[in-house]
Amino acid sequence: MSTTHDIDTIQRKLQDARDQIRKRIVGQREVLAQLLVCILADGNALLESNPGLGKTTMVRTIAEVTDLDFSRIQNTPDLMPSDITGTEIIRETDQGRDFVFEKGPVFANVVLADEINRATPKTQAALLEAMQEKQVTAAGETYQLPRPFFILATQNPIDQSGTYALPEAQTDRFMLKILVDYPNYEEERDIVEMFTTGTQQVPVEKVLTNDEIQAAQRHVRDVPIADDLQDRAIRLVRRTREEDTIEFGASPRASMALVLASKARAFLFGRSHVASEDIEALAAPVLRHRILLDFRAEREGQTADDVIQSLME
Amino acid sequence: MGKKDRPVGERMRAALRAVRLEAWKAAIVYAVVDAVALFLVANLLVAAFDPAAIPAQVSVPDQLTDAVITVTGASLSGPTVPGSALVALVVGVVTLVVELWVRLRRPLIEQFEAVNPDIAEALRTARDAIADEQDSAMAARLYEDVLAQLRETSGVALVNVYRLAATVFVIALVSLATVQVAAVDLALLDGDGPGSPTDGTDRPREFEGLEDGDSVLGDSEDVQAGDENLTAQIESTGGEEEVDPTQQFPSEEGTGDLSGDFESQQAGFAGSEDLEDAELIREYNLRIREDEEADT
Repeated sequence: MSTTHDIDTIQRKLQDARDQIRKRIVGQREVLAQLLVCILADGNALLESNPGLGKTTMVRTIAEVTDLDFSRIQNTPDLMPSDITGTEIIRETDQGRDFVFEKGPVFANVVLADEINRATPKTQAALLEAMQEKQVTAAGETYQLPRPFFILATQNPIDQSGTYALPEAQTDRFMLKILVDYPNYEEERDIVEMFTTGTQQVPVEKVLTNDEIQAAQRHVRDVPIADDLQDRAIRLVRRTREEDTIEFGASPRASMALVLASKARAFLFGRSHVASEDIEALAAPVLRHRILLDFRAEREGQTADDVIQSLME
Repeated sequence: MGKKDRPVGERMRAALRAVRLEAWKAAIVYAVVDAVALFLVANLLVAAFDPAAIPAQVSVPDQLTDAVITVTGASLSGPTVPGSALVALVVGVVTLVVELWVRLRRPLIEQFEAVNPDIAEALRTARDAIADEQDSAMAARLYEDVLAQLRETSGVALVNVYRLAATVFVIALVSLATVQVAAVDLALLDGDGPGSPTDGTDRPREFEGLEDGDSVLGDSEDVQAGDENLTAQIESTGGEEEVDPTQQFPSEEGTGDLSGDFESQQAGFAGSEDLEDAELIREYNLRIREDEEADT
């Protein structure tokens, strides 16, 4: 059984990992924290940002400092499900020809699915099924995906032509929807200086092992939460189903996601219990892709984040 | 097994019990102080206004006196307690009970959290974790964190010292006022104050100054209209001559010239007609007293 000393060690290493990532990623502290929360909560994230904001660099850096396998899938309309999950190929052996399953890029600890809305619904469904089930079935055989398994899917908020928007039922499977905004002037200047002088890539150290991340995932589920805070999270999700400005509210899966993500955030920041600030910080990332605003709210220029903020007050 | 050797969950339970005890203590302190303050205020008000509805003395029930006699062996004959004290006691007891109920209605741990906000969420979470009997490593880590934080906090904050000091100050003031009222026998309403001649008790009168005639003799009446006539014969005994106790009156041996018939009337007095008469009588009385004192 783990001791409190083990927990202290993992939490200290998580802090070291964040410090290492910050050596390469300028700013975006909240985005980075939300990505790590997703990994610790054994969830997946949908990341929405304009191109050129360092999504790939960020995810690749996380994989580097955490000793996790990394793969990237660039989604296109002609991408087939087997291109992601893998396929059986005929391989010549000494005993003759044999069908061998060739694992696809989804068999990695950290998978970056770039521009997921450019893949066809069939391919999207295959990817999201793997994400949900943590396994892939091909030719009657079931293959377990490596643990931990984390998909970071990105989509571009502009240039929607030739895309297949993810249906609400699919987006509900992402624990968080993370918005990446442009850096401020100072951050952008640092980025320019960092990547236009000296070596192209700032080196980072590997500070967390695969086993430690899985241990952290187990500890996260045991993080105690006060009854009133848990009730607050549940009430918040339920209010999205009663609010006039929301056409479709969030499901109970959102309640679970909010509580679990809050536990992960508490663990990430070295605490041993969930605080109200965890719920407040994660309410929007958990709920913004799970609610559909009423047309009147949209007409008034309200965003999902605005409505969620008003529900929390 | 030392305290440190006990499982952390058990130590956490003990800490929560201690926190609840602190909240109990604070509630009792507030309730007792407020009850004493209201007891004194009620006692003062009843003594000062002396409302007619409240009797001056209330007999102690026989069951109670019997019980006291049984326990102590002391002899009690018809003991009474002042009505004002009894009313004040009821007010004090009600205050004590109501304030305790109100203060203890709110969860005790939350009261402690309210005055120690730094530890509030952790303590509340630990309380719920203990209630759920969580014993995971994370729960143990939480318990240790909370126990460490509790060592840095204090239950003194549960008691608002300024509020308590203000109440104690009020108690002191009302106590002084109570003593003063008892000393000057203040009665603001038209009731029978303690020490008045018609208070219905057999207590000796302690007031030795000049008093109003009405208060001494009771209600005035018409001296010309007594409703019972008695005939009496009065005979002088001759000044310093000894009187035979067996001697019958009227005596043939009398030397005085007071053998005529006397017609008596029932004693009475005339109420003071106006302020001048009363002042005049009071002035005469004072002079007579001064003369008597000078002679002695």
